[in-house]
Amino acid sequence: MDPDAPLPRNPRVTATALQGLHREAYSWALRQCRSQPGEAEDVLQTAYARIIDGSARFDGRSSLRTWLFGVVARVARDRHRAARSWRAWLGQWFEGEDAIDFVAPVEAVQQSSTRDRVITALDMLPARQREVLELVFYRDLTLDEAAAVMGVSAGSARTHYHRAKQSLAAQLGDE
Amino acid sequence: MDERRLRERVYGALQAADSNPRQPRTPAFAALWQAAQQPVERPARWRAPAFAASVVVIAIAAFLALRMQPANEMSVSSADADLLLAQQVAASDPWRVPTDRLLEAAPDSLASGAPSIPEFQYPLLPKERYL
Repeated sequence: MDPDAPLPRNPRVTATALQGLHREAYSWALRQCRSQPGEAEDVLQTAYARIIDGSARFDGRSSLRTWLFGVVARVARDRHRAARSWRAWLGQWFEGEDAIDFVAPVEAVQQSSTRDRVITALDMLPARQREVLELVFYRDLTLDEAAAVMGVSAGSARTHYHRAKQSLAAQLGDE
Repeated sequence: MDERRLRERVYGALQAADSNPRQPRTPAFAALWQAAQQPVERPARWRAPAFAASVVVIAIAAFLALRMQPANEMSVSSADADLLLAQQVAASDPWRVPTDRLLEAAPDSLASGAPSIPEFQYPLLPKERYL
């Protein structure tokens, strides 16, 4: 099949365009999965599958990059929600088994290097705050684009953004 | 910490994390596209509604069958009792009610809760009134 031809079930998307965004999409998925590569690949694979089968359809209202990030974020969110439900269900029978969490322990912050401390501090933020900060600071998205990726209103994204900056600054101190 | 410094630190940390030696596998898009174009074995669109309709029809039929069954039995018994009454009223001694035969024609349910004759004692008057 011609890589520049539109996808049969997603006519505004081409293989070439997706391939061009693949590395960034993987990086975004990796951050969504708290740097767990296997999980990130599963998330990205599921996102691609949804794009191919047309269950996630690009309508051109935003950039392809913003839309792709949104699809990846939704897939990751669904996956984490399912995992949480499963752990909670298991926890009814196996007390203490549901203690596993994505949030790194506080000790990790103290022991890690400066760079890792920033990452760990980011990971300790609530999911929405972490997402908006990463999208704006690192992915160079505007707040409106970040809101589209996160599936929230622009006002909500703005609130998360301000709280995230305050929380992160407080956690990192005056280093 | 000002916003610019915070931004630089976040950017630097995430960029460093992104330069992890582990490279993402480039997906075999060409293979994926071809697989996506293969005809997928999907159940025909009419099957699900047809199945649902069949289930509904069977459920309604079962409900009606269960509902109608006792009514039929009762109507047969009632018809017998009505016939008996009609015959008796037309007879020469209509004052005589054929209780035994009417009870025989009545549905079982009518007699199921009735007490036996020896236990059937209701003092209609206070005991001292008999004396």
